[in-house]
Amino acid sequence: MIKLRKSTIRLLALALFYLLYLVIGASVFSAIEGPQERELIKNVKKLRSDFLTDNTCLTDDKLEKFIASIVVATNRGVSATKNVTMAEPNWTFGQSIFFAGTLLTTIGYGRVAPLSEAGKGFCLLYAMIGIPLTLIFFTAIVERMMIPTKMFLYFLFRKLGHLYRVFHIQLLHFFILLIATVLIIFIVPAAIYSALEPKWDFLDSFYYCFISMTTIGLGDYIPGDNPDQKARAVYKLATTVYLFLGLLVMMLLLAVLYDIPELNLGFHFYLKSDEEEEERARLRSGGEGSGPKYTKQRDEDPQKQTGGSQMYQPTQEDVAAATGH
Amino acid sequence: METKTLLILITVVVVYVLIGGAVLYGIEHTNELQTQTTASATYFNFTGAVSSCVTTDQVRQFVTAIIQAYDDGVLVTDSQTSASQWDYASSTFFAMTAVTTIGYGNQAPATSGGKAFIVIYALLGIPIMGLVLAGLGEKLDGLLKPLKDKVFIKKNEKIDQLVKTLILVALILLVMSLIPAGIFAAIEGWSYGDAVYYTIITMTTIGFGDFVIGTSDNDYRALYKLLSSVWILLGLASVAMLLSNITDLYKRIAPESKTDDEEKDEKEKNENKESSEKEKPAETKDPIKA
Repeated sequence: MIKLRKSTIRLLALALFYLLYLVIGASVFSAIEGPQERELIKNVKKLRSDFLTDNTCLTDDKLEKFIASIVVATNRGVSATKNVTMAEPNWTFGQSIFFAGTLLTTIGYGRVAPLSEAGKGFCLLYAMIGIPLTLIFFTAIVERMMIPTKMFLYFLFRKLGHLYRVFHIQLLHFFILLIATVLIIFIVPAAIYSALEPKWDFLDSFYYCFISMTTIGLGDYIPGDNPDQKARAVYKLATTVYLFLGLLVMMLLLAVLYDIPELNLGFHFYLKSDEEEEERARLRSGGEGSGPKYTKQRDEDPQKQTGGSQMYQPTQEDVAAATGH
Repeated sequence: METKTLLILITVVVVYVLIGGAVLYGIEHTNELQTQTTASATYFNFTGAVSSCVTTDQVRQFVTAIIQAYDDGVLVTDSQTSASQWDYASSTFFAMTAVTTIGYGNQAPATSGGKAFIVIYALLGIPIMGLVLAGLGEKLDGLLKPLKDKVFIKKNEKIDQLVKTLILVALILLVMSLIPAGIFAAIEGWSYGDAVYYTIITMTTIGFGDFVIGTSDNDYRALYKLLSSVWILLGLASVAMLLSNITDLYKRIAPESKTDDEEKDEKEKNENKESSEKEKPAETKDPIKA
C-alpha cells in the first residue's frame, strides 16, 4: 500500500473539495443566469423583427431606443446581428466553469457577467469565500512545486558553487525558470491560440495571455467566443485549466524570486525590517561580528501570495553542506 | 516601513500612473477621435437613407457598424456623444486599474501600440503597486492598534482574536464598501445593490467592468475619478491588511502542528523501538515454524 504523508492526503482532499466548489459554482451560475439570458436574447430578437416589420420610415426616437438596446445587449455579450438562433447561449456549463474560474482567480474578464440580482449576490458570496480558498490552495501547491525547483537550484550549486557566488547562482536559477515560463506559459499558448482563434494574430494572443496571467483580465479578448466555435465547452475548460496552471507557475516564479534576499525589496518596506535593523544595530554594538542570520518574512501581500511556510535561506555553509564540499 | 520611505514610494507610484496616463492618452486619443468621426458618418448616412424605407441588409450593416464602434468604445446618437474614454483623467484611471490588476475592460486599448505599451507598463507597475499596497496596509494596521489592544473576551484568547477579526471585517465592509456604495448609487444612478456589487467586485480586483464609475459625462468628472481612485487604493490596502490579519488569526487558532519532517523523525524513532522489540520474539518463533 502506498504510504502518503498526512499533509499530502490533506492536500488531495483540498484539491477534490476545490474541484467540487468549482462545479457547484458553475451549476448555480448556469441555473440562475441561463433563463435570464434566454429572456434577453428573446427580447432583442423581437425588437429586431419589429424593427423590420415596421415598414414605415423610422423616427429618431425609435432609432435611438433601438441603438440603446443593441448597445446594452452588446455590453452583455449578446449578438443582435445573428440571423439564426445563436449557436449557444453564454451560460452553458463549460462557459460557467470558465466563468467561475476567472472569478476565483480574480481575472474577471467581464464579457460575460451575472445579469440577475440573484446572480450578482451569489457571485459576491462565492467570490468572498472562494478567493481566500483559492489562495490557500495555490499556496499549498506552490509549496510542493518548490521542492523540485529547489533540487534544481542545489544541482546548480553543486556544479557552479566553486566558481560563482550564491547570489549569482540564484539569479541564474531564476532567469532559467523565467525563460522557461515565458516559453511554456506565454509563447507556446499564444501560438496555439493564434492558430485556433480566427481573428487573433500572434501578438493579440500573447497580449491575451499576458492580460490573463497578471489577472488584469480586461476581457477584450476571450478565447472560444467565435459563433462558429466547435467543441466550445471543451475549449473553455481547457482554457480554464491553462489559466490555473499558468497562475500556479507565476506564483512559483514569485516564490523563487522572493527567496533571493538581495532582491527582496519588499522586506525593506515592512515594519519588521525596522525591528531587524534595530536588532542588527544592537548586536553590532554589543557583541562579535556575526550578524543575525537573515530571517524569512512571511509574505503579507495577498495578491501574490507565495509559499506559506518559512522558506529556507541557504548560506554559504549550507551550500557547502548540500554540495558535500 | 518608515514613513519617509512610504511617502517616496507613493510619489513614485503617483508619477508612474500619471506618466502611464499621459502615454495612453497620446496613443489612444487620436485613434478614438478617428473612430468617432467614422461612427458619426455611418450614423448620418443611415439617417439619410431611411427616408426611402429600410432593407434588412441595411439594418444589419448599420447595427454591425454601431456594435463595432461600441466595442471600440464609442457610442454616437444625436442626443449625446459618449464621454471620451481616453481623455487624460480617464486614461489615468485606466492606468491605475491596470496596475492594480482590476482591469475593468469596459475600456481597453484598441491600437497595437496601446496594447504593447500596456504589457510593458503592467509588467513594471504591478510589482510596484503591490509594494505600495502592502506598505499602506501595514500603516492601516498600525492605525488599528487601539482596537487590537483591547481585550473583548478575557478568558479565551483565540475567541478574542476571532471577535476582533470579525469586527475588522465589518469595519472594512462598512467604510470601503457600504458607505461608498451609497455615494456611487446616488451619483451614477445605480441601485444600491448594484453599487455594493460594484465596490466588492472592485475590491477583490475581479473588476468585471459591467459597472464602472465615471463613464458618463458630468462637470466634475476628473475630480470624481481622482477621489474614486483614492478610494480604490485605500480599499485594496484594507483588503491586504485584512488578509494578513486573517492569516495571523489562522496561525493562532490552528492547533500546533508538527512539520512533516518532525513527524517522520518521530515515526522513525518509534519504528526503531518497535523493531528492536520485535526481533526477540521473532527469534523464538522461527525455530517452531521450521
